[in-house]
Amino acid sequence: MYKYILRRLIQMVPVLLGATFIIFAMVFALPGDPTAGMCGDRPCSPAFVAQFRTEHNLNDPLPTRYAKYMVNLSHGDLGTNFRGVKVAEDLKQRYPTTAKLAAMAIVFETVIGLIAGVLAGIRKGKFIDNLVLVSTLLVIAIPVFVIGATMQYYLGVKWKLFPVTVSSGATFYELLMPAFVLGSASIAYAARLTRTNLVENLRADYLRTAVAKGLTRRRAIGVHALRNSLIPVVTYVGADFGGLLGGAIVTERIFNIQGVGGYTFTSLHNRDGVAVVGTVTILVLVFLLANLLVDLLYGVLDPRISHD
Amino acid sequence: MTEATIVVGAETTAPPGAGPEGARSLASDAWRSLKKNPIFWVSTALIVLFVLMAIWPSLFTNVDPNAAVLKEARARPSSSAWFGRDIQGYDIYSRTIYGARASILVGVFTSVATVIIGGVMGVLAGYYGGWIDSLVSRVTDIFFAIPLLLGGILFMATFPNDVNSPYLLVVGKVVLVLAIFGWPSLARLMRSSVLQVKPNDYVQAARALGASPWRIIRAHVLPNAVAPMIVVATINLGVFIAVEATLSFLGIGLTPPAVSWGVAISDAIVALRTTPHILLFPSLFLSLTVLAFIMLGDAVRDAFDPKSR
Repeated sequence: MYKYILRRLIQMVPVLLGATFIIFAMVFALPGDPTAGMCGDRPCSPAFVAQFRTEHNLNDPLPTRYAKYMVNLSHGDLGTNFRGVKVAEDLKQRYPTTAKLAAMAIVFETVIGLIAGVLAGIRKGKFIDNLVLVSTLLVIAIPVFVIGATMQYYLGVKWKLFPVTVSSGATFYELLMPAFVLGSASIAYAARLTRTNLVENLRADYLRTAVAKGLTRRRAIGVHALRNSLIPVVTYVGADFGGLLGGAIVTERIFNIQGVGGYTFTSLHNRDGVAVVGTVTILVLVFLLANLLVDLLYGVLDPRISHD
Repeated sequence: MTEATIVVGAETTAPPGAGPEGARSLASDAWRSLKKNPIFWVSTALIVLFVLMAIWPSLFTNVDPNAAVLKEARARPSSSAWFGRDIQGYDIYSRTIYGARASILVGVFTSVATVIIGGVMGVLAGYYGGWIDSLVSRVTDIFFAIPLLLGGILFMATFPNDVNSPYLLVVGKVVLVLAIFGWPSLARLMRSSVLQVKPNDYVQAARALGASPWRIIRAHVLPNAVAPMIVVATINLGVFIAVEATLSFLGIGLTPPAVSWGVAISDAIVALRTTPHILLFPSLFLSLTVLAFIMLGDAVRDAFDPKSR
């Protein structure tokens, strides 16, 4: 088990290096001059520009800059953004908000997705099945920013059921609607996936055995069929983690949430490469760890899968 | 859409299995159940309609999408402008028709590109195994670790458009970035189906007869391993269209003067409170397109899945 985890962590290193290099290369190819507009109305003095460029390693070729960045990163130093603030400080303020948002979205995804999927699966072909199938298709087909803006207007502005935007405190109640919007497409996918797998497993021989030996329907479905149907769903939720973090950029923009998504986007606009790379590196790392966790969960769901 | 239907069509035109006793091939079985599926026909009809819109928008409207009538800006739907007019006084019906082209182009080209990249990578990894497999799988992991939307935002911010960028360049950039970050899931899928096909007797027999690897892949492995990837690519086509709209919403995908549903929707969101019809029509068309491709993919998958019958 520990050997497996260690091996996976080692395999993660080249993936992390590759992914961060791609991001690094893209971000530092950003056009535009970061010193533009830094000194008010006048152009910056050549001395300041020269000092700024040396300070941020802007004169080195790309591989050297990447190497320097990674050496700092291995010491836990995410660098200083172009405004002179430590990126780690900025992220420390913003990560809790986005983490809360993403965690709530995942809870929505698993709870609503599973319940809808199970209800549809055990009544295949009935009204509730068709309702789930049609409504999930609709949610998938409507872009998330249209869902977000429409819900914000109707539930927030018009009927005043939920807060319209999120304050810097980002309370649980304020994040309810944004988290639902962020998770909406994933809820739909998770529900459809649960339904498909449950329908397949309901016809399996072991379930017939379980019923034949006298288990109640609730226990046969809830313990035997559902547990076997969960592996693809768990895989999906893990792989979707990255999508959630990307989708947070859109959701945080609509609901004015002060999280890392909005931070990434403003930093991109300000041509602040260090901030973008720092944020995205952490995102990729979280994504890889989440997938490792998912793989470990397989063993819990299906004891036949062992990591020894 | 074209891929999926072509594949189905191509396989069904082959002589169906053996004799009248009922031993039919999987493809002809699938085609029989597809023919009876209304969802298949509805989605195909929608897709044909949208593709026609993309190729010959003038079939549907003779109003210039760039003709602004400012004094009628935000007008409600009427007999002169069927879907009303938007903030700039453009005819929404005409702009919605002309907007199909960008979405369809992005969706189709991206899907074709991901099928090619993902297919080649998947076959390389699955068929050759060994160090090639390790290398290709790691590269796939690297690209998989960057979420599609995030990669798209980073790329489009790095290479922004300006007002004078030619239309095809703008579309091409969106296609390029979606293809770069969209292929890994297809490569993984293709690799696993090649791994399933490779140990089969007919592949071993072909190798024993001395067929070259290229011939084995082309004649034996590909036809038996490509179906799942095509289905997922069809569903992804809808997803790519939605991602393009999201990029446009963030102001970095297609940008005006390009006429596209994404641009129209992002312009309309500010007017949601007062004139919701400006938002309704382009997003309705966008959602119908996405829906059509997803339903087609689902229908084809169900038809090919022996367990669902």
